[in-house]
Amino acid sequence: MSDLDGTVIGRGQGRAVGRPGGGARGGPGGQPDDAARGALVADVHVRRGAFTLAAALAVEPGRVTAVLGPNGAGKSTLLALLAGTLGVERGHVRVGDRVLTRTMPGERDVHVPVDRRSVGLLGQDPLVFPHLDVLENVAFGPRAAGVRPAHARDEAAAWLEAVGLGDLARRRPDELSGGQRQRVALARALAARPDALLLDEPFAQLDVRTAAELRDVVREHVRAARVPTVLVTHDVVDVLALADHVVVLHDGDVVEQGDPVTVLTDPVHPFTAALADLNLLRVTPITPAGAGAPALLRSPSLALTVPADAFASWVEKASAGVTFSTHDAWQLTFSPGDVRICGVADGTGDRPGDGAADARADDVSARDGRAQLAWDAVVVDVERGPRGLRVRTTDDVLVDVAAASAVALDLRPGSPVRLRVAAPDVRVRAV
Amino acid sequence: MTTTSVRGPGAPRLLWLPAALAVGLLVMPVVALVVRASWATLPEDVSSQAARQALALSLGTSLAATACCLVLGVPLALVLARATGWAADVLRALVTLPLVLPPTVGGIALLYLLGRRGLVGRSLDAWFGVTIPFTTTAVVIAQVFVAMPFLVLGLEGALRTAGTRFETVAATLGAGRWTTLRRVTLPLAAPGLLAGTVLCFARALGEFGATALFAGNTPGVTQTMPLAIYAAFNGAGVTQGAAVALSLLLVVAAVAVLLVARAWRPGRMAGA
Repeated sequence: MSDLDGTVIGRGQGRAVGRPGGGARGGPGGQPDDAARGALVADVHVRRGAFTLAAALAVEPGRVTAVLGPNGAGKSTLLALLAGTLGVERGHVRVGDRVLTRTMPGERDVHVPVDRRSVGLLGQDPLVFPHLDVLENVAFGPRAAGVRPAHARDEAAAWLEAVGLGDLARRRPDELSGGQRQRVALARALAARPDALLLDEPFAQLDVRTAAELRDVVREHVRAARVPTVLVTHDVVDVLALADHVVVLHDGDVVEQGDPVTVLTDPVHPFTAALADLNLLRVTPITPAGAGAPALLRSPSLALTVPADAFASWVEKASAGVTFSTHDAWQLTFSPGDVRICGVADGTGDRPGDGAADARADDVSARDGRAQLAWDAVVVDVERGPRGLRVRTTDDVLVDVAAASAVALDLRPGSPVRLRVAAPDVRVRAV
Repeated sequence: MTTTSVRGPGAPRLLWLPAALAVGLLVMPVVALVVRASWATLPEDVSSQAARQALALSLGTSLAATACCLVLGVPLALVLARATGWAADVLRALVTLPLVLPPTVGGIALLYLLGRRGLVGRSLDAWFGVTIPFTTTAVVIAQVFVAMPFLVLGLEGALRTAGTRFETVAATLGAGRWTTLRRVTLPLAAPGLLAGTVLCFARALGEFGATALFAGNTPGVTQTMPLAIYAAFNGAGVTQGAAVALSLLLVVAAVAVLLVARAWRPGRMAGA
C-alpha cells in the first residue's frame, strides 16, 4: 500500500472531535494519534442465567488477539461486553487510560454508551446501510463525529481506495458482492477511527479466496492504524493468518492462551486440539513392571502400550518447567495422519495413513528405528476426511486412511482395529 | 428464443368464481358511478362554488390532519416498535381502536371529550373560551382520530422489519440517538412511512361519520366533500350532478394515492 503513504487527509488542524485526546484525524496512512490509542484491556465477569463468563485479555495497539471457542463458550458475550451493548457484573474494560466500563467495589461505576466508546465492530454480516451509497456508508462515521460532509467524503474516498474499492464509491450496496460489502464495512469501521476494533467472524460467509484477500486487507490496516483488535472465530485459518495471540474460551472460562503456533501445535484443551486437527488423549501412566517390559498408558476405555525406553525418556523429559512424573495424568496429542491402522481380524493389513503397507511387527518393537505406541480399539464411524477417509475410533481417536485401505481393511462401525503411532510423533504433557 | 411460461402451483380453479364476484363487488359500484355521471356538465358541476369550497376544505383539512398524524404518530410508532411487554401490547391494541370503531362512535366520543360540556372541553371553554365542536379544527381532529392508526401501524411494521441491527452499527460508528434516527432509522423505514402517510391522507380525505357528528355540516367551515355529497343526495347544498362529480373526483384521488403507495419501493428511487 505504498500508494497510500502520501494520502493524508487534513481535517481542521488538530480539531478535537468529541473524543478525549482526539487530535488531528487523517485518512488511511495518516499519522495515528497515539496519545488516544492504547492497549485494549479487559477483565470481565458476568452471569447470564446458568452461564458465567470470566475472561481477561490485553491487546496492544496494532495487534490481533483471536478468541476461539465452541458455540456457547461466551465469545459473543465477551464481544458484547467490549462493545458496550452489555454491562459487566464485575470488572473493567479500558483502552489506554480511557475507562469504558467499570464495576468494581469501592470505585465509581462507569459505562460509556456504545456511541461514545469508539469501539468499531465488523461482524459476519457486513450490514452496509442499504439506503446509502458506498461512499456515504464509509463517510458515516466521520460525519457522525461532526466532520463537514465534503471532508468526510474525501476521507471516505481515501479509505475506499485503501481497501481496493476506489472505483465503486457511487455504487449502491445491493450492487456489490459479499466480499465487496465486507470491504465497505471494514473501510466504514476504520474511517470512524476506532480506538479498538472487534471482528466477529467477518470472513465466515465469504468464499475461500475472497476471505483470504480480505484477511490481508484487515491485517494491513489493523497494523497501519495501530488499532488493538479482537477477532472472534471458529476458523483456524483466521488464527494463522491474523492472530498475534490466541485466547481459547470454553464454558465462559479462558482455558488456554498463548501465541498461535504454540497453542495450535501443543494444545491443552480438547476443543483447541480439535480445532488444530489433532487427537488429544488423557491417559494415566503405569510404570513398567520389570526391566524391558512395556509401559502401559490407560485412558477411559483404552490401554496403550509403549516401549520402556520411550516411556523412560518421556518421564525424564522436562517441559515448560514441569517434570513428568508417573503420578501425573498425561495428555497425548498426535495427528490423525500419523496413526497407522490395521484390522485385528486377519492381522495382516497394517495400513499407515499414507497408504503404504508395513509388515506386521511386534507391537512395541522399534520400526524404522522408532518406538511405537499401540492399542486395540473399535471403529465408531467413518466419514470423508482430508486424505481419503477419517475413521473415528474408541475414545474419539481419529485416524486418517486412504479410501482403498479402508475398503481393504473392511472398516465399518464396530470393526475391531489395532492402532499404532510412532512415539516421536506424539506430544506428551503432564496435566 | 421462445419461452414457455412455467406455471407455478396456482390457486384451485374453484376459487376463481368467488374471487371474480369479489372483484365485481368492489369495482362495479365505481363503474356505475362513472356511467351515471353526466359528463357534459361535469366541468361545470365540479367548478361550482359549493363544490370548490368543499374540495378546498377537504384538501386543506386532510393535509393538516396528515401533518398532525406525522408529528404525533411518528414518535408513537418509534416508541411502539421498540417497546416490549404487556403494556406495549395494550398500547398497540388501543392504537388500532379507531380502525374497528364505527366512525360515528368516534364522533360521539370526541363530542363527549371536547364538546362544550365534555370531559376536557368544559375546561377549555371555561378557562380559555375555546370551543372546538362544529369548527374546522373539529374536522381536523376527527380526521386525525380516524387516520392516525394507518400511519402508526404502517410505520411500526416497517421499523420492526428493519430491526435494530443497523442502529447498533450506527452507534459503533459514533452516531448518537438523534443522528441514528435521522440518518438510519427513518430512512430505512421510509417505505413504510410513505405508505402509512398516503393511507392516512386517503382515510382523512374520505372521513365522514366522525366529522358529521363532531364537526357538523356547515358549508365552507366543516362541509368536506363526503359531507357535501351526502347533503346533495338529501336535497341540500350542491346538486346531485355535482355530488356524483365530486364522488368521481374522490375516486380518482384515492386510486392515484394508492397507486403511488404501491409503486414506491426502496431502491426504485435510486434509479439503478
